[in-house]
Amino acid sequence: MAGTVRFGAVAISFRPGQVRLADVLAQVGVVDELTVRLVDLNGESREVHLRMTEKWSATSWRPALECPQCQAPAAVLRVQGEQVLCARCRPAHTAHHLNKNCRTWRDEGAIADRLVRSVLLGKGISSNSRLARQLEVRSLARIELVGEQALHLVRTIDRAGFINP
Amino acid sequence: MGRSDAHIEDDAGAVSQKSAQDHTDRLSARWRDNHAKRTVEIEAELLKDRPGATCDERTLLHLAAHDAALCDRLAEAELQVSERLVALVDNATVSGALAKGLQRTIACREACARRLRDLLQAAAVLRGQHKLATVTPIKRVA
Repeated sequence: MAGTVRFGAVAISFRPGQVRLADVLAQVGVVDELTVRLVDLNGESREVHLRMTEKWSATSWRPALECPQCQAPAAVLRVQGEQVLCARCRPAHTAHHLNKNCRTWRDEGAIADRLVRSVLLGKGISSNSRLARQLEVRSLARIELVGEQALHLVRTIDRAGFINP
Repeated sequence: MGRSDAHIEDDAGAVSQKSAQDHTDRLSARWRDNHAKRTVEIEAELLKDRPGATCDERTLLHLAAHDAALCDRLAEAELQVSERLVALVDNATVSGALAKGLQRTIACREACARRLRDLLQAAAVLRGQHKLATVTPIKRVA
């Protein structure tokens, strides 16, 4: 960064698998180099060394994180293998985009995803418990129905005597 | 004026329908009780490895236990249907219905298993976050 040279800052990213500029600025302010400790999507903690750069934004230069691969400024870096990369180097889709046409998504997968994100980002205990209750009730009802239908089919076949002992 | 035969038959039908409904409700309640017991067992096993779990983590593990119990039940149903399908694969009249039932059961079990995996993964991430927050002090600069 122009003017100041500050090293050795350590920040923590609580968003699993990503580093956000807003979190870094809130914790350590504007620095040249920093170490970020984060939890990846498997729950393992990691440590990454990043540089900060500047980006022209409308009327002034604003701080931004530097992508280790393309050196371009970015507001969010995501874990990819051993590195954290920007959206240009590692295009990311949301879970909704990836799964919206899957059966698993319709079968309470969307609610489970909302619950997981709400828990990991600390959205609040009331919304978590509401989503958990919703997930439990709906999945129980669906699986009771599907299981009952399958067992009814089995009983019908057994009663009709299709299978000879 | 006496009641017609049709009315009497309707009443008998309603009574038998009511008793069938009662029977279904009893079965359903018994199944839910068994499911709740199994969920508690699995949850206790999961919590054994995680002493000092936070409230959110316990919620996720409870849901994971619930899904694991549901997966068990669906796997049992799937096994029974697939056994019948293997035995009756040459019978065109029933094999179609069995295959459809099996497909529905498998799809539901896979959805359940995927949800279970996501919930356990989220519990692991939450634990990692908690550890990171308690162990690492934030070093502020200027």
